[in-house]
Amino acid sequence: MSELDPETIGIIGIGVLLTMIFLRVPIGVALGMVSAGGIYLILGPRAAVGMMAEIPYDFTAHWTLSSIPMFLLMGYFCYHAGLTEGLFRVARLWLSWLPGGLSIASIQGSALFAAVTGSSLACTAAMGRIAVPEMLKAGYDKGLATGTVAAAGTIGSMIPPSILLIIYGIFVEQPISQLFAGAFLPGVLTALMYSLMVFVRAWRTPSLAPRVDEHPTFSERMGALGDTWPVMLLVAGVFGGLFSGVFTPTEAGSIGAFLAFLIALMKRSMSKTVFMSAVNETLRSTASIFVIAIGAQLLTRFFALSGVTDILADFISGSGYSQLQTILLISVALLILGMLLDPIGIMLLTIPILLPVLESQSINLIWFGILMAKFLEVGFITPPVGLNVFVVKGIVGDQVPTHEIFKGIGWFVVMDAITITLLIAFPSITLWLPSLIAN
Amino acid sequence: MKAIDRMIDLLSFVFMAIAAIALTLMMGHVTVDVAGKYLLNAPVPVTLEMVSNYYMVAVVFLPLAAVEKVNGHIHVELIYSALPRVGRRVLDVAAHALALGFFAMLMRYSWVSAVRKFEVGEFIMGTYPIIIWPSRFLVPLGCGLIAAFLVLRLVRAVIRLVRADLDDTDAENAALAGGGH
Amino acid sequence: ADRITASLWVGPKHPVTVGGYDPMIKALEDSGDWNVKYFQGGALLGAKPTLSGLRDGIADVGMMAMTYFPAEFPRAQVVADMGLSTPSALVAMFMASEFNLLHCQPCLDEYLAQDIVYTGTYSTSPYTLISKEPIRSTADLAGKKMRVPGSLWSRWAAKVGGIEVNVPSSEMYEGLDKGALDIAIQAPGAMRSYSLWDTAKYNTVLNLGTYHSLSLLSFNQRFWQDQDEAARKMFLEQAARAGVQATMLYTQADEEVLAAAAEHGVEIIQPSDEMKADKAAFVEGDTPMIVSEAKDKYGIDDAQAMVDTLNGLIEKWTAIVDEIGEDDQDALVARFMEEVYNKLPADYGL
Ligand code: NA
Ligand code: NA
Repeated sequence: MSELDPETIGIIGIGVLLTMIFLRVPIGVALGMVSAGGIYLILGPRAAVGMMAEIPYDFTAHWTLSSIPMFLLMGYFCYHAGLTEGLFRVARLWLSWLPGGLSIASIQGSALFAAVTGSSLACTAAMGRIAVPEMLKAGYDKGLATGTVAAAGTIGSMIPPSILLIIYGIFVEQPISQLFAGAFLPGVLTALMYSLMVFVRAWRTPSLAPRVDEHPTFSERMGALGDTWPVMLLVAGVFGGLFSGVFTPTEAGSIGAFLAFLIALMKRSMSKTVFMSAVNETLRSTASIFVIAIGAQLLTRFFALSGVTDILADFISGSGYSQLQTILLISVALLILGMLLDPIGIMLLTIPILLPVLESQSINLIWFGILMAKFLEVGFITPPVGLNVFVVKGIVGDQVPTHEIFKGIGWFVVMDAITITLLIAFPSITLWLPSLIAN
Repeated sequence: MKAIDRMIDLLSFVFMAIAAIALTLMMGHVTVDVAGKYLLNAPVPVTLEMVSNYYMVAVVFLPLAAVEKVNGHIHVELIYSALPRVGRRVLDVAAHALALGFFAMLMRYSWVSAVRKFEVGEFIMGTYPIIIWPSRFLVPLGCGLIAAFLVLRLVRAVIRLVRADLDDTDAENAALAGGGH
Repeated sequence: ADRITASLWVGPKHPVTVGGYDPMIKALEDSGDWNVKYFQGGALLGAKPTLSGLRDGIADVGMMAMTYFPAEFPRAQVVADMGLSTPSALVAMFMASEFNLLHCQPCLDEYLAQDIVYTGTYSTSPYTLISKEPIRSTADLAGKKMRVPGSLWSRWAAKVGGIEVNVPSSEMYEGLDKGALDIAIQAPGAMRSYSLWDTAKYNTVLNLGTYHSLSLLSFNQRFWQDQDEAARKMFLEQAARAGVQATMLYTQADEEVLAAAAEHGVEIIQPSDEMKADKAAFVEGDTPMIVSEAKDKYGIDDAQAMVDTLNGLIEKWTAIVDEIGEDDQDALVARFMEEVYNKLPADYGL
């Protein structure tokens, strides 16, 4: 084992990782190699080999993760069979007056979809193939088009259901119903802030989102509505089934894909080519996303073992801070960790350390849970490891370079900063709905 | 090298076909399970176990080589496109070598683990016991194929590094400019 | 200071964390001899990776639930199958720990084959029915979609005409809330820890048995071999205390939750005599099944002898717990040491 102490190995590891990513090493490979090397130096060869032998399978063989390939497949069926074309034509006709209309519609679509899935990756996966090509076709800026979907996907874990909040709730023994109620308004607020930002930017810089130069008549507008039936049917099926308890959020992915397949058959737009393209692209996207997710799992273990998280924790739990100072310190720590690590991993690593601090400061754990979820969601889109960004990249392929998606994310992160400031300044945004159901 | 290429192409096609079947089965199995539960009060047994331990593993690991073939493993282009030819080739060699190292290690170690699971006859207990050790071998299979393909890519990258006359940078620049294909 | 890495896959409020690991970690840290790394919630190793993680030395000590490893630990499944026969959590814990440590060398060999040293278990409190609709008779269970905690309960669910559905614990709340699930078979404490009482308003406290086939403080064998005799003895004492404390806390959580149930609008339903009788009849009919399954699935020929010994231990510890009472922790630990741990050889696990 190494002469260096684990914390130093951890910090050197971050440097090596960033260099590798910058130099165009595939991200999953960079994450995996740095982690393997780090664990080797800290614990020796047997542990490093053990991690590499077991984590890829153990991480992948998970029921709840199956919703990611299934929602991807649903999106690809919709795209290749043209199920969503009608919807976007309506969006174009009806929203032609609205700067950035398609992007705003996509954000609302994600917010709606968030009510079906509990995972922001699945939310991004479902919307990616549906919304990004339509925005690109309409001449939208690539960064805006892709950034919209990656950022709006984060609403998936805010608006209930939310796997992140369920894990938090079980972890700190807070009522899940209260957490779900608490996250609803912050989720809606996120969607509104994003929409507002897109509106202002598209209005100020029309080239970002070219206005549709159509002046449809009322009857043209009404006429187009008829073509939205495939999507309406899909949405009705998935929502109806989920809310009447026919299936669970994980099963919703498979049901959504199957319904999309059926509707395409009904619409006579399902062919062997459509089916094969959808399946092929789903497989490629899934594999490329999971390689990174597996790398992120390895990195979280390396970080845990290196004790880098302990440094941050010691910093926060140092005595003498006010409530606000504590929250700000935690915020900084979560932002930094969120840049690199897998969001659920961050929660598992930090909560046991933070919990005593939060309890000693009598910080409301419902409010904090929502705040933490929001920070972790920001981690899904911040460079260098932004899993939502990679989901979008896995879908768009060569069309848009990764850094351009990250660039497109920039303004969304700014809006998140404002949203988070509001959540900290006005706890009642979060706590109002829970207080209603508590009575 | 052409023959190896064709061999890898063929295997990659077969792996993708198996993964495609797994993906379709995942959708079908869950849908039938949901329908059975709701309509007939009779769920399809072992749905969760099959989805988790077989379909998911096939869907994630078998397509790895096919993804590499279309350059689909996600990376950051940031400085790459600004570099001169030699710089790019050096980075190519480094990236392929690292990727080869990573997937070769995954192949080797997950193989050892799979053999161990095979020897104990790994299974899980649902309503019925299900043998799951066979799915363990999907990991070294998928990682092995991409590793083999990366060997070829590494060799080609080295050749292109030392033989500028064999290097077609124009097409690459067009692709990097965002034309895609 | 020696480095020790402890890995748990349950959260900071779980009885195993609070009653089992936290006190040991604190004792190690206070001694000044140890540099402790302590992970919870699966931040280092999840429930399934804990086996290979302990074997490979990623963690030195961790908890394993043996239900995840039927191929590697066949005999532990037979111990688990006694779940419906145990009268209480403490008795189940004493039974399983003593059986493994003193009466079943092949069980210990299963652990040693994985380079892991077994030092005892804890037990959940008895499982009950947490449901959306009131369950007042066995007939009420027919056609209900239920989540079962293990294969033993699969057989029971089939027997009462329930529909076993696969819902991971992270979707248990959602499942009950939206109706994909009618019943969760869980200890009453789950109403609070998984927030089930926000959506499922009935808890039928039919004793559906305990889960006690875990390995609470499982040590990597090389780590164990590196410790001197005093340290090993200290760890064994910690194991005895951890088993008792975690089990008592589990039961205590149930009592708190049952006491607070009314506040949350949950009706606690006492099982009818008919339900108890039906369950007893199932247990009786199931014992031959345990023995034959052990032979068919795991190739264990002496399962009948295992079951007999385990039943004997249930009787023995029922008497002891009756004598000491369920609340005197120190006396229970002392008796546990005397009856079990003090009888282990000095080279145990080496
Ligand atoms: Na959601
Ligand atoms: Na990030």
